[in-house]
Amino acid sequence: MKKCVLSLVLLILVVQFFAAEKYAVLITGQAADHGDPTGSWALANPGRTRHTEFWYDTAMLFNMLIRQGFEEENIYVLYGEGLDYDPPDITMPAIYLHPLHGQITDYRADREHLEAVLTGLAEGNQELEIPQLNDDDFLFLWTFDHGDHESAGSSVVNLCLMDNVVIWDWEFAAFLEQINAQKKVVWMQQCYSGGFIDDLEALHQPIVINTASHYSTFAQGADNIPVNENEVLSE
Amino acid sequence: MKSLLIVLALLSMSSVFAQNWSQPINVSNQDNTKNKLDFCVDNSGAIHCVWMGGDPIVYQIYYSRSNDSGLTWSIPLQISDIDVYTRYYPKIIAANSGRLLVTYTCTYEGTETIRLKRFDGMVWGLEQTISASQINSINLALAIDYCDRVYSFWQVYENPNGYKFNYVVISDDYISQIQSPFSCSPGNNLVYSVVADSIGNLHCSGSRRETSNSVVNACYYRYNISNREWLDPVSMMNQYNAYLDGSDVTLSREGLPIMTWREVLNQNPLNDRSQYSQFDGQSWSNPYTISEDPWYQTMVVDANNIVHLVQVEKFYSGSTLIKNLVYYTSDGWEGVIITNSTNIATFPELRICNNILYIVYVNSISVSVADIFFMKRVLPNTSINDGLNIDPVTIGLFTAYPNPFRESIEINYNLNIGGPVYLDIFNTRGQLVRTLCKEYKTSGTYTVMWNGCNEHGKIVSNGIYYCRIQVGNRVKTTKLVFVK
Repeated sequence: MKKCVLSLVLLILVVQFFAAEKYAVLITGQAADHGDPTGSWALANPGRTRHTEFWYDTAMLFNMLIRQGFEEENIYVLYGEGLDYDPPDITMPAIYLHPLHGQITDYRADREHLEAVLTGLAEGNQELEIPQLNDDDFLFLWTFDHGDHESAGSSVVNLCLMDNVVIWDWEFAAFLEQINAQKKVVWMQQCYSGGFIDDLEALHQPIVINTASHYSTFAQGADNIPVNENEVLSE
Repeated sequence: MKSLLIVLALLSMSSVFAQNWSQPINVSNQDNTKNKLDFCVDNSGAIHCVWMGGDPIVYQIYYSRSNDSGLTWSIPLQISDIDVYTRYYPKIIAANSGRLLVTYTCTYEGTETIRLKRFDGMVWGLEQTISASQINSINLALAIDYCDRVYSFWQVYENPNGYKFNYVVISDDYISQIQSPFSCSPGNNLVYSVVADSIGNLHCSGSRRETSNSVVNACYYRYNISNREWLDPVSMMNQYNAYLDGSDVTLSREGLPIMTWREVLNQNPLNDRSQYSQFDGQSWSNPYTISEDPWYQTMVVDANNIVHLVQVEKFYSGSTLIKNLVYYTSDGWEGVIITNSTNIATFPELRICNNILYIVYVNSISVSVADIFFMKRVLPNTSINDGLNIDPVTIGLFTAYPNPFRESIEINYNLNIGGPVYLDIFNTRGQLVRTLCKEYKTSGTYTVMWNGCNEHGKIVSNGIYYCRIQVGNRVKTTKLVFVK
């Protein structure tokens, strides 16, 4: 009887230890908190404020992941200066806030923290309490900000981070390669994000990638605001 | 870490008994995501509670009532219409004859409207839209006066100027035109909490940004019913941003307004505090700091003019952040931890009815597992103005000198009642810097020195630190400034 109970307890512990977990990394860099008011984003989005695009997408995605059963501690959010968009004098729509009005953002969206999170998921990082993923885990990565390319028509592209620093597609792929997971899903919203596809495909890992644009084109918002004329009409 | 959590939980549990707060009763029993709530007590003593819950992308509004002073609650009913829209930030008011009015925000495809739901004593009616459809039109407050006039307030965004509040007046068969008493040019004007006095004047706590670039001041707005006009707003002229999460207003026994608000001295690392001020008929008192690190203050005044205030405060156990509710009275402003959450207890709402304090709040296990809870506390039977302390103060004195300090600071405290004492220094990130005392002390006066060193004996950097004393379930915090 004792053996049976012990075996059962051991089995439960083993199952819990190796149970598949869902992890996510959400990255929104410099455009969220900085940006030239006469720059490309501002020109393309007259009358709009940055939070309505960068923060709203980040926060809404966080809440969608919670809805899909992701644990909060398994979602790593790198956003702008490292703080939620939290204006003092207005009430924000609930879907753009943490459900308990805690902090959604974990880290500043700079190169140092991005590397710390990605290598943490690959090797574990006790200080930041980031676990090493195993072969059963699922990883979702989402990126947003400006994207740029090496030269016109080149498929060598990057994602902008804070401090005018970028991460190139081949660097990003190298970080991802080190992370164990049953499946990795990469979803990119920035311009030229299609340039990441060849680097990730070359890993020959179970990676699903979805990008907002071809490597040679801008990514535009699909809304019903008559800018850039690729709107989705609600009527 | 777990043992610390258990200790904290036990301390908090003991507080519930010590302070005569009833055991928490689960109102919602749904175990899903919960967010802000509101409740009211009607003329017959029935308690009506509404909250937003269900799904962090498609919140809906739920309702439950208790006819037995909160002992049992009806099965939650989704009162918002069933469709694909998301609804949030509900407010509820009880009118005469068992009628209820609930307002909330409804978002669909990026724009918001304010919806009204009525209960006629028998059934809930269909949703009515009472605002225009605009980006960031968010439900703010609901108030009722002595003749059942209901005022519904919401936030309006006027691109590119900023934010202001609009409102309508609602009666049984009539909804007024939308009123817009203040513009948002050059700054913002918003109200977050509204109460009507005995003759129908409205007293509102809110915020005001004087110009587009200035800080956000906590602000008092008043509507005079006699001549149907809004008086000039009174800004508290603080030099720090006053946030909406923690703004509340109530009235003294003389009908004079009392305000509390949360202001943020620094965003990163977070340095914030809860402020309190009252109007004496001529002017507002200098703001008094109740505590550091607060959220969501809610307050009422009892028959003895004692202010009862509950707010959310954070507690660290290692790197784990826990939030619990802390109860204060103006009789000494000594905090009492009244919940025992191991994650986050938040969004408290406090009401008083027939000398009983009622509180409803969210307690969570995780971000997606939370419930609505109810507690009450029967206040001692005291005649009005007899000056009797309702709670004996445990921590009589808590001072630090000199402050700011260069080499060391002397921290003095006096205990009227003995107990386990935790005296800790925290930095503005809320991280524990040094434990100065962790032992049982009998009643008496004590002094402890801090030399500016952390637990490893290293001198800490210049800046602001907080010294928090916890004796059993009582807490007090004071700010220290270290200048090398």
